[in-house]
Amino acid sequence: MELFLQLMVSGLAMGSLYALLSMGYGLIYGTTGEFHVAHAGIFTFTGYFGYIVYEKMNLGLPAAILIATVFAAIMGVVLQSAVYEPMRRNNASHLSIFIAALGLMILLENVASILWGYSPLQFTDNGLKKPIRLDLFSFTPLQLVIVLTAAAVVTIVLLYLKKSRMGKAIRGVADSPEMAKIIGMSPQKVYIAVYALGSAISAPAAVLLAFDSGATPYRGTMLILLAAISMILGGIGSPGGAALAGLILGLTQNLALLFVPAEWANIVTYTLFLAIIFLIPTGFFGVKMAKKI
Amino acid sequence: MNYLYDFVTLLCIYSVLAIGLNLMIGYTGIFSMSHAALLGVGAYTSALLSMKAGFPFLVSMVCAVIVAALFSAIISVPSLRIAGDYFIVASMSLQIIIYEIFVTWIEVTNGPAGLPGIPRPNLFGFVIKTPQAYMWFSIVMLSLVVAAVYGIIHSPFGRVLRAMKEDPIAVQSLGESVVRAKVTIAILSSAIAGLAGSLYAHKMTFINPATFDIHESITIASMVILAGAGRVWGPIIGVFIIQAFPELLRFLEISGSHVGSIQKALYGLILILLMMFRPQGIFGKFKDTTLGVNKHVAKN
Repeated sequence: MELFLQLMVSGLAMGSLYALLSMGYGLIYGTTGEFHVAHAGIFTFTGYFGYIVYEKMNLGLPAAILIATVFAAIMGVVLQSAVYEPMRRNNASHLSIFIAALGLMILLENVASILWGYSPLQFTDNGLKKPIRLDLFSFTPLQLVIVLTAAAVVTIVLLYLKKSRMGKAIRGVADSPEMAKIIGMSPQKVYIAVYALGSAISAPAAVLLAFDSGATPYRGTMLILLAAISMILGGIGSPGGAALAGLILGLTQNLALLFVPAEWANIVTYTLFLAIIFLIPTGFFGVKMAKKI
Repeated sequence: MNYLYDFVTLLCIYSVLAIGLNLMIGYTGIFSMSHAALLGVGAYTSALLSMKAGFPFLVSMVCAVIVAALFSAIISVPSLRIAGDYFIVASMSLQIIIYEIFVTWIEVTNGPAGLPGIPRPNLFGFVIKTPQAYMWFSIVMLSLVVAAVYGIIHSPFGRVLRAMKEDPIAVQSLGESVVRAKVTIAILSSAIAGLAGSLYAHKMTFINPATFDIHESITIASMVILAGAGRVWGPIIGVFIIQAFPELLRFLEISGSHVGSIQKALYGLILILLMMFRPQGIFGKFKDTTLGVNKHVAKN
């Protein structure tokens, strides 16, 4: 029971990080249909940017998260306008855009490694990592901060998408870019907004993950796979679903330790995720049907 | 001289792998992120069968081909039924799962330490031992694979593939099964990866998981895209460029701890620029309909 509760705590914290990562990624994919793997490259850079604000400028963690988030949004817009937008204009296939995104991810990861080195850069602890013990389990203030931040971001974004003018425009373009154009909306503006918003949603998770386990250059491929799996499980086109599925993924990865030896946990969970994707390709909260052919 | 023989041998082995992958990326428009893992499946199967079960080389090699094909069938059959990017996600998961198995299943694979002492190929009593002999052996194998792929591309099935890349719905309406064609190509391509893995294991006589990780999968895909996906000779040129690249960096006297990162960053940059300005690859035909399906088809 104690082990179960302890794993629940670490699973909730990890799942909250995955929730933000997947929601940002899912919003971009769901709206543009572009397999933007460079999302992981932005995520990596955001972690380092948080490190610079926190360690070099000494502005504290909240400021590190806020400034890094703005930075991530700008980076998302720059990538979309410099690479994806010209390709879209040339009618590039989705596969070409995916390969360009892959190139961007490789470039960003390795530039990060050249700039900041291969080994993780650790944040100095300000007391957030000191565990608080209760009767049955213990948790760190950092885990609490992660869960609360994720809950706040997810709520704000869902409200924004539902209520605001831009939120409605995003949903319109996601449904049909042609139709949106016909009624006089500009898909370009929406694409810029989506890349900014999607990158910003994942940014707090990037800084908090870096704070927890150090900023490292080569975590991206693993993270983008997790994000893509949660997005499919949550249903493509449903940012809330992606966030929930991310949370479930984090919990599953931790609770799996109850049943399988630690070194086999990754193999078992990924096989499980793969099997579920095959069985339910539309995901749990899918709005769009899976495409046939 | 042995250095040159080894260079050509590895060039041939990776060309076998890249030509197989080109069947998917170039001719069918399916992007696989698991070819390094499938190379590893071939390598480990062939090595373990000849070391622990005492199988003759040719039998081990055939088994390597079959096992790699089976692994790919596990994900191809369910995921290629669904269009979109499901196959990319499925093949990425497969890559991670297989790599983790190489690292974790220490009783069999010897884990991260790797598997030393893989025997040289023995063909009916003749042991291929010297670097020169192995070079000729791999050239022969590469020629066989090129001939086979050339045959497939120019068969009626090859024409179905090309038509499918242009317009899958039209092909479907003519009574050809798009899913079956895609699955066939994915399995064939993985079988070729298994063959390359067997050749690799018995050449190096030592294998470890690091050679088969996801970054290698991406490098192999870059080899295919670089020179021109969808052409029989394209991948060989791509493999040559990427194999010769480290030598070039050495020549330019870029060195130190960042060599690997600089090299990879340049691959990334080249991929981006290629996709933006020349999606058909450096030597591809100019009016090629680029990679993959047309945009309006993918959107539906």
